[in-house]
Amino acid sequence: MSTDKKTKSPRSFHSGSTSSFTDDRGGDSGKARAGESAAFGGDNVLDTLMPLTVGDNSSPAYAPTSDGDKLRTRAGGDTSPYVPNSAEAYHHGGLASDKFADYPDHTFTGCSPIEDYRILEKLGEGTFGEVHRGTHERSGNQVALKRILMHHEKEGVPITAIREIKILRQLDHENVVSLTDMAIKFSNATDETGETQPPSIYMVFPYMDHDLAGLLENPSVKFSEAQIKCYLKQLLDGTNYLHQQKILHRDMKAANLLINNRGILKIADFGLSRPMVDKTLTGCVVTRWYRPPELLLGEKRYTTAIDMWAVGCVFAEMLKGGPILMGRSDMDQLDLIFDLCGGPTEESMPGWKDLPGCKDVQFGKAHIRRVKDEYERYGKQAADLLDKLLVLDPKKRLTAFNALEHSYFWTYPKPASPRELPKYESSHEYDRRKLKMSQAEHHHNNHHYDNVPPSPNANVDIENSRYRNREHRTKKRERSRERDRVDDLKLLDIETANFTLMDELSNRE
Amino acid sequence: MSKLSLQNAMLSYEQLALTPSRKDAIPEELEDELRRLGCHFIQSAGILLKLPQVAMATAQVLFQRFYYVASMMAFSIRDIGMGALFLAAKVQESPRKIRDLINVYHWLISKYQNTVYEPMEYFGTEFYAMKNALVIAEMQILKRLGFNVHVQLPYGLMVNYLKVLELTEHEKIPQLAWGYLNDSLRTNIYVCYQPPTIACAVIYLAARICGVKLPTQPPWWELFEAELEDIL
Repeated sequence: MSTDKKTKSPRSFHSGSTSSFTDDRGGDSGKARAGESAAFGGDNVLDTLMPLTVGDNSSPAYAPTSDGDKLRTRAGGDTSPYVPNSAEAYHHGGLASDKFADYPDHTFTGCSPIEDYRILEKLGEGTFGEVHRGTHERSGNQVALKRILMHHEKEGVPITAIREIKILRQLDHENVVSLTDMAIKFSNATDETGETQPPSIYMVFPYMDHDLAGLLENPSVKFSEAQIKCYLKQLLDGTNYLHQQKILHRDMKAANLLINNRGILKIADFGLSRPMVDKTLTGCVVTRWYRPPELLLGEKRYTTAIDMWAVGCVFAEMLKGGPILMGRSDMDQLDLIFDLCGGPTEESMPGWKDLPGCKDVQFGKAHIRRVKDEYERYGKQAADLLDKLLVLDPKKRLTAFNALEHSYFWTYPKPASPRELPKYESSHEYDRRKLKMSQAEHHHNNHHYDNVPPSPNANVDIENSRYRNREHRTKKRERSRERDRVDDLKLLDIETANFTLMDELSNRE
Repeated sequence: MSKLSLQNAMLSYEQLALTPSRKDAIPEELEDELRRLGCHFIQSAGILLKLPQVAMATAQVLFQRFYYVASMMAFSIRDIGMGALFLAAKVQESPRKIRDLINVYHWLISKYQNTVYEPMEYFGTEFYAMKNALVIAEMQILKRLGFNVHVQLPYGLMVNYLKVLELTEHEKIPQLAWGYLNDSLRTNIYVCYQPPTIACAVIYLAARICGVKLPTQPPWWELFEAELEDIL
């Protein structure tokens, strides 16, 4: 077979990309490229870092540093941390080389050395790794670096990490976080047995100012109805996209929903997600407060409805201003759910008695469903939508697609457009301490706060005193919550370990 | 559609002409020979490990891709083969244990070298050396390919095309075409052409061997986004 290739017509990404970098650097003749390679060749630290590396610089076929950089610069060419078309730029060359415009997904470029990034403060802890804020050295763009923990003695790169990367690279949606780069740090340290330590792998994401949990806990932030609608709509859009792509997220929660100061919400942390398959999966997924009843009862053949339950929880959390179902144990969680949504009956949750988790469970009192009554005060439509999301029977639970059709989004006040939303100081669920220190000042100087429609009794003095009280209460609440979180985290760790194991087992069947 | 499913990475003309191994003064014939041998090991090991064919196919594509960004002087085909298979098994959601994989490779290699097979010591240094090499190889593959481990394969496409062409019931063609797909994993076509083209090519070849005429008015391949020039 002939190896000749036809030159295909150039793909649209040159013309389609808005960044000015593209035009300057995109039209790369062979000559320009060679020059660039040479220019970057001098500071190519790659060689010294890796024991097995052969000379990269000389090879036009493999010049990862120079090419990769050119691209990343381009992908983040905009000066703001949020490039509107970063997703597009990424898919059309963010990681791929743009050497050959005809092959936009041409990716024989390797990934970046960690020296390309400066790692700054810790932002949080994901399911299997920590997240740091960082900047890209050459472009100055802000990024979030998520480190994948490597368990050397076990089975190489964890399958969960591979799954996450694979899934993220397949996804491309405004409301789903985009993976812009991968970076590797090789360590020269050795452990006691003389084996070299496994390298650290970092996933690079664009930096997001807030996560939803952080925002909700920030007492100076109050969501308007239009704002909640806007976030929920984006959340549902993203979820709908995931489910269309046959991806189960399995860890939907407020802390995993990132929001930037342009009002864009992105679903993040795909550490537990996996493609939908028609076989039994592990039930040890989803943080407890967002775990749906069927999972708590031991269902192993769950569907996308598990994410929708969590979406319902997040929605209610936005309305109420804090997590709604804070169970201390799985049993407690079930109690809380049944207390709110009524006890399981053959009608409300067909087949619930057959679920494995039910055997040793006694449900004493009969509960009456009171979702609607409880949330009526946040509006009729909101209560109705929530009532359709927090449904015990996963088959009757609203899908993301149908939820988007709900009249909640089509009645006054209409969902705000992301651009109109107020901007806040960075709030991450993880660093509340820093947040609290800047709170008082923040409250007074918050110009953007004016954008929020005034609350019914908007009087500055009242607002201030309320705020102080609230702060006090929040602190107290947070302390107790911190304890829970720690327990929860520990649990999750064990669960993740189990989960990998069980997945492996179920795969083997 | 094209936006959602990542296309396979394609080689550039220069990459194809001048591989890193060639630069290290490895003759072309030797490189091709080693590529074939590496793929042969992957395929055999995959069968012994009862992996699905997609895993072996993915591994072989990763293997082929890898040696367009790295030289055979620096990485042995045994290590990269193991790494690729190990990684591909995970990518295709059917992970295998390192120990199983190493045992299989150990056996295959001793068979290839015509030596008497001696099982490895359970905690022997040889095992740990191989395991270490495997883990490093996996990391190198991931790094060099920029974690782009997604491989689109033409198997499903080919079957669908056969259905459209109403050839699925033919006694020979499906099997033949499937075999061609497996065989072509040992060549570089998976890094030169997109899956639809490959699928069309094997159907074309299989149909020609069997003397079955395919519609030319309009040309059947147009339906599947392939171009005649590429197929040939």
